[in-house]
Parts: sequence; structure tokens; C-alpha cells
Amino acid sequence: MRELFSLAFRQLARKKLRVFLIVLGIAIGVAAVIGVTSLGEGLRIQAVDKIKASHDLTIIEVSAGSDKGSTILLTDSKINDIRRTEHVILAAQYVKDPYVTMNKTYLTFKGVTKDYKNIQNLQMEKGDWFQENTNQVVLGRDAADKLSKIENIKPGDELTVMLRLYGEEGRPMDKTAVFRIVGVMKPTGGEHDNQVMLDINKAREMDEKEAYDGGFVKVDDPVFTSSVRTKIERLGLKGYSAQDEIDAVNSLMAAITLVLGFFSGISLIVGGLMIINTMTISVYERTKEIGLSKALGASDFDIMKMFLAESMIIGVMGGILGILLGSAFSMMIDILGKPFLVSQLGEMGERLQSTHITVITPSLLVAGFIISLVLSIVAGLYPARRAAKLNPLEALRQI
Amino acid sequence: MMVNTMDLTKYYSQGKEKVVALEGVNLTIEESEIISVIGPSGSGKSTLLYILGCIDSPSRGEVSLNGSRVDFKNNSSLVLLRRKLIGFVFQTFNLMPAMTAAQNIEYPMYFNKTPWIKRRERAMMLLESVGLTNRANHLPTELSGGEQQRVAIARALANDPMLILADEPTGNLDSKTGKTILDLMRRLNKEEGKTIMLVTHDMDVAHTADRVISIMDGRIQ
Repeated sequence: MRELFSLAFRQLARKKLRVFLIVLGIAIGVAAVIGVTSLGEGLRIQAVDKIKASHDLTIIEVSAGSDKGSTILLTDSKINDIRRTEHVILAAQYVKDPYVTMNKTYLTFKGVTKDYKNIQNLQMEKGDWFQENTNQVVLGRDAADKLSKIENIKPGDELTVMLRLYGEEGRPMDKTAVFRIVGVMKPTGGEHDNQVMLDINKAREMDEKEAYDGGFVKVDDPVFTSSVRTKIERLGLKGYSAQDEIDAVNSLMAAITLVLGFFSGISLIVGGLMIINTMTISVYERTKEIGLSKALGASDFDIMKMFLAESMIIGVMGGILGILLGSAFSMMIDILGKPFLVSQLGEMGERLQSTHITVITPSLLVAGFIISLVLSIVAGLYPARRAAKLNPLEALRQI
Repeated sequence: MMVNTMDLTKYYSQGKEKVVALEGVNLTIEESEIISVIGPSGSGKSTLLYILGCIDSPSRGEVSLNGSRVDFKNNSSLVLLRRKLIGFVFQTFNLMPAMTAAQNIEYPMYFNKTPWIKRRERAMMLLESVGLTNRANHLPTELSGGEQQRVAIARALANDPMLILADEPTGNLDSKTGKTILDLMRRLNKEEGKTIMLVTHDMDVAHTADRVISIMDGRIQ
């Protein structure tokens, strides 16, 4: 083995420029793949970090599931099952209904528990959270603005609203209730800003629902989110966590990176063709040597090994140089591409300023190296076979 | 009998024409014999050498080497014969240009899967026997023609073959250097009992051998 490669080295050393050019050709292909993939990886990590920053990964959203066409409702017994699950610290169910004021302002009322406030980390801006089993309600920031602007209803005032229910024959039935506004929540940037929170028992008295519209489950550590979620889904319910978004981003970016990597990998095909071309020329140039080797006792396989060893060395060198060039290329994308991305993305781009848009992982470098090696071996097969099949007599007669 | 041929015939087709290179050659070479085959160019003498060396195959007839019939259809048995039984010496020396003298001698042993240390040892021993110990690490381009041919002879002996086939070994050398090469071959024959077949067109060279066979238009005269 050692002998095989040292001989291959000596053979390659006779044609340094030519070898350097193919190695460079392959290295450029590998570098393109590494550079583009590192950009894809970098953007993926950015997107995932953004999701992680704005979402609590310990929270699982639960809603009614379906099993073979029938709906599995989120009932009290299901909630209790969830509460009993290991690693679950809180479970907060809710009901959600559209209410309308006397002046036809539509508002979403959400009947919630104390745990709900804790899980969602809802903070008060004015006033207090409602007392349980009372008619007190708390407004989201935008809902408060809306009510004060349109109807001149302020915190502390009474709020008369109507909920339309449908009877068994589908006949509408309106229920009216009077609530007292006791507080306004700090803006959350999410759905709560437009909602009105009330006690869950009051809400259920109003809407007469037999099950909950949804719930939030908090686990003690993000590492258990997915296992708890699987258990919830085993109860027949639907579970959702920010991990889903991360998974979606991951698979989307993986697909994009694969496509980009594939196209940048086209340059690798050129590199492969260069190997085939150069090695085939080399076979012709060394026809006499090959014939001689056969006369001296080399088998077809011996000859094939010699040429494959040469293309393998080219592949190894191409891989190493490709890793170096690819890292440089990746850095270049980061340095030159970042200002462009930042200016294009505006506010979102500013976050990028302090980070890198390309990320090189060890596995990416290893993959680049392996691609180069495999490519060189595959490309070397044809010339090597050709060399092996040479007729030694004709080869020897050549002068 | 080291070599025995029966009705050995070889045609080449050149376009539509059939060219006869050998026609019904019956030849026997005994073990430890040194013979020369003489003939003008195109007489078929080289064809004979390459068929006996298992590089070319006959159109008709049989070849036995060291008592067993050669199966020209069986490529791996031909490889083994070339590797173990036969050593070649060429007119143009044909050393591997990327290898030093010692490496050139080791080369056939590499194919024979001789362990590395033994290869090295034997190469040095053979270099010594051809008087080129001090040239071990020289590349072929750094050697004179005579030195190159001596390295080539040492290489032919690498796997200790019984039969040495030499194709015009002195053809590219001046007569004085040629004579040292011929002396070396005779010595191999006398001292080590190698069977040697020497192909040449030069009468003086041919008469170095115990027996001279003349070949003309593919037939032994």
C-alpha cells in the first residue's frame, strides 16, 4: 500500500503543473459547495435563533385532535391526564368566543385560569388581574385602545357584551352579560393584545361549551418538550410547539441548501471531467510503461490500482485545498455579503450585523473532503480500467 | 525442457492482408541452455520471443514452459508466468523513468508481493552482482546506456526467473559495452544456470550463445 502511493506520488511529481491544475479545479468545486452550504447553514441558524429568541420552547400548545374522522375534545379529563404527565409543570386550558358590544365592536373573549397568565407571562400595565369567579375582565392593550376610542369605555367601567349561541335547530340565541374592566395588560406583540381575558368558569357559563378550545402546557426543560408533546399526541390531541417552526425552517433551509449545493456542485463535475481527461492522457503517455509493467508481472488489477492511487492522491489534495479555499470563500461571503443582506433586510438585517451569515461546521468540511475523494476515485475508474486493459505487446511496441 | 513449441504459428492481419509472422515453428530449449535467435528485422524473431514471454499469443500451435502447456486464454495464469518464470531484457532498456535503479529492480518483486525489506535486500544484492552498487539511488536518466542495461538485467533477475528473454540487448550499445552485457549474460547462464534466449540480428552477438537458431520469414532455417 505504502509502496503503491509512493509510486503514485512519484508519477504525479513528474507532471506538477498538470496535477496542480486538476487539484485546483476540484478544489474550486469543493470550495463552491462548502461556501454555499455554509451560507445556507448560517442563514438557517439565524432563522432558528430568531424563533428561539421570540418563542418559549418549553411551551406546547394543545388543541382538539381527530382520530379516524371523529374529533377528540380537550376535556377536563384530558387536561388532568396532561397534568399527570412527567415534566409538565403547568397546564392551562382556555375557551375563546367572539363577543360583540352594544355598539357592534367585535372582541375575542378568552376564558382563562391563573396558570394561563403565568404560562403566557402576561403582565399588567394598569389595574389588576381579575378575581376568580367574578365578572371582572382584563383587556389587551389594543382592545383597550379600541374600546376607549370607539365607545369611550375605560378601565373601571362596565362593559356590556353579547354572545350569540346557536340552539339545537340552528336557531340563534343571544346572551347578554355585563363585565367590569379591572385592568389592562402590557402589550405582548401577540394575539393577547386584541383579546379580553375573563374567568374561565364565567366564560363557560356563557358559551355552554362541553370542552376547551385549547390549552398551553409548560414543561420544566426544553429537552423534554418533544417527548411530552408525543405523549399529548398519544392522548389523541394535537400538539404544537415552536420546535415545529424550527423543524419547518430546518427542512426548508436543508432543501434550499441542497439545491444550491447541487448547482454549485456542477463545478465538481467539471473537476471530475478534468480528472478523466488528464488521467486518460496520462494513460496514453505512459502506454509503454504500462506494457512494461505487465511484462514484469503486473496484473490488470495492479495497473488499475496504480492509476486509482494517483487519482486518489489528486482527490485528497483537491479535498484539502478545497477545504482551505472553501473556508476562505465562506469568510468572503460573510464579509462581502453581510453588508448587502443587512441593507436589503432593513430592521431584520440589523440583527445580522453582529453575527456571521455563514457557518462552517466540521461535518461540512469532512463532507467536502469526502466528495472530493469519491469524485476522484469515480473519475479515475475509467482511465484506470483503460490502462488495465491495454495490450502489453502493443504497449511495449510503442516508441 | 525449459521451452518447447509445436507448430507455433502467428498471423497478423494488416487490413485485409494476412501477414505471417511465424509458421510452424518447432523449437526446444533445454534448461540452463543459452541460445540465440538470429534473423533480419521482420523475420518473426521478436514475435517468437514475445509469445514465449506470454505477452503475445499464437494463432496456432502450442507452447510449453518448464514442462507445462501455456494456456493463452487464461490471463491470470499468463500474469503468473510473466511474474515468476520469465525475465525480460529489452533493446531500449525500458527502465521506469520515475524510479531509481534500486526501485526499478524492486518493481517486479512488488508485483510478486515480496515483502518490502526482502525487496530492498535483493535489489542491493543484484545491483552488486551487476557492479552498480554506487548507482542504487540514481534515476535512469543519470545512468549511461550500459549501466541502464545492467540495471535492466538485474531487474529481469528480480523474481529469480528460470528463463531470461533478451530482445536485442546490445542493440543500443556500442560494441565494447555490448560485450560486457553479453559477458554478464553468459555469467548468469554459467553461474546461476539461467536459461537464456537472445534475439539479435548481429552475428557476433549470436555466437556468444551455445546454439544459434536462424529464422527467416517466420520459419526456422
